[in-house]
Amino acid sequence: MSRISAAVLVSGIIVFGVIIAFELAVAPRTADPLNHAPLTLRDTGAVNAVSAILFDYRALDTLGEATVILMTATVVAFLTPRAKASMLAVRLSSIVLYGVVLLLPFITILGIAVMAHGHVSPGGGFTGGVIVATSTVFYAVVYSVGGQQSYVIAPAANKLIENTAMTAFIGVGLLGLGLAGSFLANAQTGIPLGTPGELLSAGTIPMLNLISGVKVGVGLGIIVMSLFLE
Amino acid sequence: MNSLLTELPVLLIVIPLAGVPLLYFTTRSGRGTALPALAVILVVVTLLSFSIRDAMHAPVVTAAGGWQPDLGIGLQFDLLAVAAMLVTSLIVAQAILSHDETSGAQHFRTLLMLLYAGSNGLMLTQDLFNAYVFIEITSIASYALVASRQDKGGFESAFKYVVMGSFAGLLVLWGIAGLYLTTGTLDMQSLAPRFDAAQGAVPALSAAAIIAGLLIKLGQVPFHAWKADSLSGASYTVSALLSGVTTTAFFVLLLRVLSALPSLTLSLAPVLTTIASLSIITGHLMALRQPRYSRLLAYSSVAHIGYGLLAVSSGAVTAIAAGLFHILVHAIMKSSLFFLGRSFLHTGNRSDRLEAIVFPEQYRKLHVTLYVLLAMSMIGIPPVLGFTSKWYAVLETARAGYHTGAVLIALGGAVALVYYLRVGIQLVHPGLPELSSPGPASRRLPVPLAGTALILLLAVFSDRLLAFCVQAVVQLLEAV
Amino acid sequence: MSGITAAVLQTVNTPHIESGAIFVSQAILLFGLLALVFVALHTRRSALWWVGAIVHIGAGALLPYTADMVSFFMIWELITVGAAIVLVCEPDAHGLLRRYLPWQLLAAALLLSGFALHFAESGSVALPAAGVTAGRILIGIAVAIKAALMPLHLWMVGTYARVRPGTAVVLSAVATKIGVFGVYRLLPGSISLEILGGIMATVAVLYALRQNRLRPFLAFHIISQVGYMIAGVGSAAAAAQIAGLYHLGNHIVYKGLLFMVVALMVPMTGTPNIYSTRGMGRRSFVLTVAAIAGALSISGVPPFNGYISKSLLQYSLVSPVAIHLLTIAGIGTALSFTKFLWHGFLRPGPLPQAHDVGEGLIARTGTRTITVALSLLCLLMGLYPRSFFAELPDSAGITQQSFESGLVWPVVGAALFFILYGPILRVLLVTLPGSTTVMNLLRSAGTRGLQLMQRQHTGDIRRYLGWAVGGTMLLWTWVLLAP
Repeated sequence: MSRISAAVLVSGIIVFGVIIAFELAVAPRTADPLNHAPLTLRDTGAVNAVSAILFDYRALDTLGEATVILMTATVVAFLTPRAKASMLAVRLSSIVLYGVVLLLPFITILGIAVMAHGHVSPGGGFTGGVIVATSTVFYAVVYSVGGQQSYVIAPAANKLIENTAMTAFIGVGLLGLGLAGSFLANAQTGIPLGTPGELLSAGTIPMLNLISGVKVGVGLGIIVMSLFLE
Repeated sequence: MNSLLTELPVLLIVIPLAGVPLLYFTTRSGRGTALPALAVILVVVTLLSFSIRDAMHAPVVTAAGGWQPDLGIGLQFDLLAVAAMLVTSLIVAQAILSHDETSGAQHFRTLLMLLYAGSNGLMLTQDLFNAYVFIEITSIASYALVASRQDKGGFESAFKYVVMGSFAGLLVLWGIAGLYLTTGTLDMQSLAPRFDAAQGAVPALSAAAIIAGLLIKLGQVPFHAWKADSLSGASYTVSALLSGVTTTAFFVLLLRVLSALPSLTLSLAPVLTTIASLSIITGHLMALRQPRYSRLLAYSSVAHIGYGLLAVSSGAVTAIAAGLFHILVHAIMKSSLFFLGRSFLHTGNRSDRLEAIVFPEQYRKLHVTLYVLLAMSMIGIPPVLGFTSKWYAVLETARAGYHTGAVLIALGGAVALVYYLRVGIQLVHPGLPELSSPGPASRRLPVPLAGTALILLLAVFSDRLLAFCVQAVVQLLEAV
Repeated sequence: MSGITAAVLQTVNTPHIESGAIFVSQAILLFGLLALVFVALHTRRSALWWVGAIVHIGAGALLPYTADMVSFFMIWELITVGAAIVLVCEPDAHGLLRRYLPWQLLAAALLLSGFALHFAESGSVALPAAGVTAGRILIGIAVAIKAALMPLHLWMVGTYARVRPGTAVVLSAVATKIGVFGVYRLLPGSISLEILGGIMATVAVLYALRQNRLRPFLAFHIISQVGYMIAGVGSAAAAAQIAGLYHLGNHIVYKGLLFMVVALMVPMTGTPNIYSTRGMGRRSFVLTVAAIAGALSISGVPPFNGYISKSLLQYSLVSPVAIHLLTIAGIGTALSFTKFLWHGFLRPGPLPQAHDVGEGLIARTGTRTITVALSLLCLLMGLYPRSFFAELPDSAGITQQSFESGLVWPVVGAALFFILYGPILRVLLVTLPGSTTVMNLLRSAGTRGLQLMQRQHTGDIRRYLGWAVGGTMLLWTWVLLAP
């Protein structure tokens, strides 16, 4: 690309940036988006409106997004070279080694808790899954020394878990289809929504939270481990 | 069962998705068989064919999870989706049969199921953000498929594809956000009045960004340049999928977006016409001198999608139907041509340079016949389906008042003849001696037999097919 | 659409029966069958070749009867497909197809779009009796290509001169005639078409004079004769149209005869060069008679058939310019064929060595019988024109007076050959641009353009991304500025 065309492009981008920013700031909005927040408690029994939207109103989107993560994990695992790498020849200090061992259970428990409380407090499956993935990655990084790799979960098992979680997600959807005639239906199925704010409430939302948490955790684990081993 | 029918759109997405774990659980070794994947397609096609009658009557509208649009996601199963999904199902099934390499077959089929699910979702959804999710699924599956050849060329192609695809995704996402911000809805059915009532430039700019993103995905001038580079690095089977399945899905989505925003479509019509005309010219002229089979076909795709876009941008119902018809026919014939390319490999020849391609000894006459029929169809020589679809496109575009466009479509065939003839002469009189080591599956019948047979047989019913497309477009426009 | 189909079905059931169409169809069919018999007797051909040839001629004979645009186009394409199959069987299939098919497909594309425009305006697929109104320029170019009108003739000279001789006979029966029929059927009559025909007849004769090889020489004479036909059928006057059609029928016969003579001559004398051919007159009496009959017919000498149609054209054309042009073309034709007869048959001198190359000598008697039959046909079509084409006026025929007046211009042409041929040829060689020059100019311009376009596609992803960003911004600008 020549300099002139680059200059034209950049100035064009700036001009449109300014126009759009101005328009967004000034232009009146004729219609505001629907406010989900007041409805969620009645419809889904979930205190966390975000979770309600993610796992109930727009659960189909979430199924799609979870699929994207699964797919990315599969692709990364497939495409990265299989050669074993021994990148960590350095010995880590004992503080790190023991510190990780001490921290790991807490991190994992935190992750699971965030997943499980997705419908009553901030967080949810995606956040919790990332935290769990962090713990597995930590472990693998610290204990893969001298060419020997350590996993919390073996790669083959990872795949099994991923696919099981996917089946479970679809299974929950089919449950809704069977009971209420609508895929991924929640309250309509007759599942008790429970008392809002309690752990066992909001119908299928906690299940989907857990499932997607597992998927995200394992998926991210696969991705990071694949790239890390490269 | 009534509820099953109303849930049909969701099932059509979920069944291929469920195919992913199905493939995993039914496989012991890394290899597996093609049966589960074929079974999934069979189920989808059965569901489709049983519900055509209902869709003829009225579109099947579903609220996913029981939540009505605005709160939840709306999906719509109409004739447009039926027609496009039947075509894509055929191509996906052919792809499964075509992929005969043992290594990575399971991986390939998994990605194929995801691509299938994503493209089905693209064609069914009525919700803009949901469409974005399916764009992501379809795109990532395509990136992975392009890279799955795992050589330098494959990675380079995949990289270019990722860069352009991500830019397209960015534009679409930004556009969706802008539309949601200003109109307060993601649902295509209720978008039009709110879009017209919205003030300021943001709604129109956002919608234009979505359209630009889809045009990148479709590969129209000036967004076309990645197409040849990406398709030439992929394996023939993957190229067939990209030019058959994803293109069809994105075209259907573009149709839905355009019909959801009639006022914008009207004001954009001159631009779309210009883009389509430029695509026809550039595509055909660039294809003239391409040194490689896949690049040649890729540029020809640019031109053919231009035909469809040109007919669509004229705005008349019959013209839109003719454009849709041509896009569907093009998907079948172009993917068949790519599948045919796979036979080149069975001679042990890895290059797809035009002076090196040669069909295997086994079934050579059959292969050449298939090529001739498909090329006739691409050029638009009777009596094959490609001719009728092009004839309707020319006719209806002219009737809609786009005389220059009609002439362009008609003239494109004369240019196309030159390059298809160039390939054909090479295939009939191979310049190079055949390589001695035959490939892994040289004894099998060529896969595009199915597509070519359809191209021949359906030509008899082309006016009924067009009538079907007209009905589909009428449904599409009435729904808004 | 069902509407289109219904319209097509209605019109298909009622074929276009009209005396002009019947005459053209029968002429093509009759001569096509004779040509097939000729080839069967002359050389061996593969089964595929026969399929192609039969499709080609059959579709050609069917086309005049079509009454709607869809079947017209389909059969028009079928003619091309048949010819393509024939060409595939030729030795130099690659080069031939490259010369033949692009032009034909261009014609088909133009015809298709012209029809589409007409349909868009009239809403009917029926072919109007008075010629199309909308899209007539496109249709005009299409039929001009098929009829090998002068700057669009390269496909014909390139093909007919390179195929085997028998194939040239078959191909020459259909393609250009269909072009002429297209002018007759599709275009409304006008003075400009008359003048165009006249110009083409004259210019093509000048090019024919320059040729020193037999088959290009004949090919340019075809173009010239097609000019006569277009002047006739393109005229608004009904009498001129009839004359043009009759000329088409005559032309099919005498030109086929000449192609057959050339096909038999070349293997006997061993050279395709007019100037070095000689002595045919002493070698084969039958061929000499046939050649003279063909030459007299094409030059319009009474009582042969060319005279009838040419004299009728002279009387019935509207534009005096066209009439004068056709007279000049007639002199040129006579000059040119005097050259042919003189060098090939009549010139005294030592006989060249006979070259029996095998082909062409398989069945002397059979092929010669056909040439004799065609020579007789030329004579009969001149003596009894109205029994061949009932639409001709009563005045058509040979009288004492017309016989004498008809001899004037051919004699002038023959005299010019013996007196002025050298200077004329020198002037022509200098002034007329060669067709290869024009072609090369076009080709280099096209190549430059393509290279320029190709050089833009460098494969650099930053550049492509830049195009996409630029395209998006153009789209945005349009949206912002649009009302």
